Amino acid sequence: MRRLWVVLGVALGLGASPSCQLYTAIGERPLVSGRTDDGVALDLAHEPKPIVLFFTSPHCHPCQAMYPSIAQLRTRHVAARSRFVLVEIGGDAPMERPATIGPDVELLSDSGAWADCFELRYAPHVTVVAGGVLLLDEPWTGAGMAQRIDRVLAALGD
Amino acid sequence: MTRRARCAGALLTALALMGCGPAVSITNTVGEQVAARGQTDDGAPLDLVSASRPVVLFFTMRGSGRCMGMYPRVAALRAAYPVARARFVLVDVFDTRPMERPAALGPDVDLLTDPGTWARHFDVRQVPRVIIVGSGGTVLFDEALYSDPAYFDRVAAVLSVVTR
Repeated sequence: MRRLWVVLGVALGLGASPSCQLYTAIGERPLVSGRTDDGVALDLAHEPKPIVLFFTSPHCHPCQAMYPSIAQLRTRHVAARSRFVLVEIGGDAPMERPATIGPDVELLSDSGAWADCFELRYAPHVTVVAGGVLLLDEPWTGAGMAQRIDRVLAALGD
Repeated sequence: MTRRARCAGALLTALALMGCGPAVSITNTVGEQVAARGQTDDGAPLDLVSASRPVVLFFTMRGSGRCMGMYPRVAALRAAYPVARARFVLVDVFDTRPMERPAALGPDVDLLTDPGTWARHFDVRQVPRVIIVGSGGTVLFDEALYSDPAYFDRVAAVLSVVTR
C-alpha cells in the first residue's frame, strides 16, 4: 500500500509540472507564452521582433562562459529590433542578473515550462524564433554559435 | 617514390574524386554562410552570398518518384510568394544531361543541372532536400524530406519569415 502511495505521489508530481506540446523542428510555430522577471509579456507566437532565448541553469559553468558572447551579440543588434532573453531553468528563486551579460538582456526564471516546451535536456542551449516560427534550436557550442545567431538576425533584417 | 608515398598519393586522389578534398565546404547548418555560386540552365548567375533575395534550393534527382511527388508542392509554394521576394531553384543532382522542365513544376522555378558540384558543396546524400539561403548566404533551413507530413508547412513558415 505504501508503494502505491509513492507511485501515485510521483505521478501527481509529474502531472503538476507545466506541460505543453513539444517544439523541436525548424519551421514549427511554438505556442509558448509567459512573462519575464520584469513582468513583460513574452508570447512567441505573436511577438513581432525576433526572439533569442538563451537557456541557462544555476551553477552551470559553460552557461556562464556564454554570457560575454551574449553581451557582445546584444551590442551588435539593437534592443529595439530583437529581444534577447536569458531563461534560467531550475532555479529556486528569481535569478540575479549576471554581471557579464549587460543590461539589455531580459531575464526569465523558468520553473520548467519553457524547458519542457523545447524538450531541453542540457544547458546552455539557444533558440531563435521570428515571426512565430522556430528558426534555430541547438545546444550552445561556443563563440561560433554567436556568429551563427548574428548571421540569422542579419538575414532577418536586424 | 616509396611505396608508402604512392599509397598516400592514391588515397588523396581517391578522396578528391569522392568530393572529400579540401576545396569542398560543407557548412550548411542554420546560421552558417555558404559561398556557392554557379549558373542555372538558362545561363542566369546564381551567387548565394550576393543574392538580393532569399534562394530556395530544391535538390532532386531524375527518376526519383519522391522527388517528382514534390513538384506540385514546390509549384504551390512558388505561387504563394512573388518572384521578386524569393528565388526558387530546382537542382537536379549528379546528372549532366540538360533537364526538361517538369510539367508539374510551373514556369517560375529556375532549373540547374548539377554534375555534382552543388550536391557535394551542400553534402546532399539524400533527395529530395530543401535548403533555404537568406541574405549574405546564410543558411536558414536545411532538411531532407522524410515522411513528415508537415514538412512543406515548415518550409512555408520559414519562407514567410525570411521573405518579409
